[in-house]
Amino acid sequence: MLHKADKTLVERLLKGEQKAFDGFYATFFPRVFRFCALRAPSDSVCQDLVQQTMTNAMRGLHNYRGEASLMTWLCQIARNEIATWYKRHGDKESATISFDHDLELRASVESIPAALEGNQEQDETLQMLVQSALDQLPTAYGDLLELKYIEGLSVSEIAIKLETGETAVQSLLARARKAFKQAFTGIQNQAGSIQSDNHWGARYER
Amino acid sequence: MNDEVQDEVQIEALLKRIGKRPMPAEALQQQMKAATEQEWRKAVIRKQRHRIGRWLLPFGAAAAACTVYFMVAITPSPSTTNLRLLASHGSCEFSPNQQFADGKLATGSDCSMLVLAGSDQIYLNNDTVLETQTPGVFALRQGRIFVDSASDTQSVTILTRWGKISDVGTQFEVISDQQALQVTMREGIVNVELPTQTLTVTAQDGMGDQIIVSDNQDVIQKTVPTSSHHWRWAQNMTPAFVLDHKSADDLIHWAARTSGKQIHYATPEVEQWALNNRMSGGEVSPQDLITSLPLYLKAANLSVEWQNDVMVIDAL
Repeated sequence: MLHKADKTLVERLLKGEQKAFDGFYATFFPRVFRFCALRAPSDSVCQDLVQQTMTNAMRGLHNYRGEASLMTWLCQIARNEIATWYKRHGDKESATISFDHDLELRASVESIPAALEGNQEQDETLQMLVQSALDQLPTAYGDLLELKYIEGLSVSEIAIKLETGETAVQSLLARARKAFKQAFTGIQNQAGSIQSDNHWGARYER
Repeated sequence: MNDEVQDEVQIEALLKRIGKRPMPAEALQQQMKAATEQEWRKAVIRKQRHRIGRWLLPFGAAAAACTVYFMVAITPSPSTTNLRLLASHGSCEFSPNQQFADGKLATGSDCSMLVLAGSDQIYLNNDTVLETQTPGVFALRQGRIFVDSASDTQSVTILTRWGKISDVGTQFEVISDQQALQVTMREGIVNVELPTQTLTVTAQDGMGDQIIVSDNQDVIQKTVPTSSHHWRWAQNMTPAFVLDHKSADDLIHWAARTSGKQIHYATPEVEQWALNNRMSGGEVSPQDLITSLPLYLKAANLSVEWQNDVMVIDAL
């Protein structure tokens, strides 16, 4: 599958379009930051890793072919940086999870530390799962779900905020929910936490 | 309850329970954005060069020579276009390496930029309007600029509605708006010619003079440390230092100039060692000097200790 939108974005970046860069940074920097934050031993190391990842990404932009999503590609670069850091400091990464066949899922799942396997608080685990799923979605979907279900805005309030119609918001919300469910379920399954409940999210209901 | 409604209930419960995704601090985002943007601009330039090179190849050397001649012929002379964009931040509509003909340079509310004027660098903050008068003479109509004039041969003069500021190889900042003129020194000396008097402001021992001239020509004088956060906006726009074949002393001087620190070599031998020791590979970002400089100097068997406004350089 070719990621045409991401490929187009990279082409615009390589043409030097400032708006493309601003959009790229606003979309991907927070995600890369969260990816590294979950795996780095400290804030300062995390910052170094993120900066190096973004730098390497810019240096290698011309190599991006659109075969994986831009987020997956960035996660691959971050993963290399993280591995190099741990190697240099004679330490082992906190998580070793292998999902070699599905790069998309691998990118998401690898943002979840080994703690997922059982010993940490459920809330913390859940937070990582949900964040990873949200970060895997197109930006508009993740933001929309947060506006609706965390900030508690109504459809009409979101429509005003996004300067669009209520029908468009409802339609977008339906697609966002579907995409989230798919991403969240995929991450759960790949992380080996397949639940026995009837509903995909029931395990985490209070 | 149908599946869709059930899904919505579960999603709402999940998201409410975990809350919003954490975002890195705004200051950190901006700092990293500046460094990433520099790399991006370099990537764009590399790509453009690659495109040009690929296009020229089939035509051979003769055609290339003709093209180069043509490009030189249509490039305006330095006397009419002596400003070139080195870097920009935010939502600027400028292209990398863009040349500016004599005239007005204006940054918007979300744009700041660094231009090369001859051998001097001028940083324009947001909402700044700067006009070129003649080479080396600029009129600051509004906003905030930082001038890094390392040249010994050409002085930079800034004209404002309040008066004229002239330098002799120095670093200084000018803010001009409807209420006041503010000149802050980081290095060297400038003369500020006001309608009623001429002031000389300087920087020494890690402290720079700051003068604020108000509407009624009252002058307030203060001092600002040369390594203060006051200069951070300009430091963040400074291009990275490319190590290739530069001496450790070059790197140390660049770091000192960028951070507003003074250099103190522990011994003359250490200074000589720094002068003779060449470095290669990589580049040093101005954003993380405090952490990265010791690592680079370590490779040259040197150490750096930050003592207030002084960098003490010693042998390892």
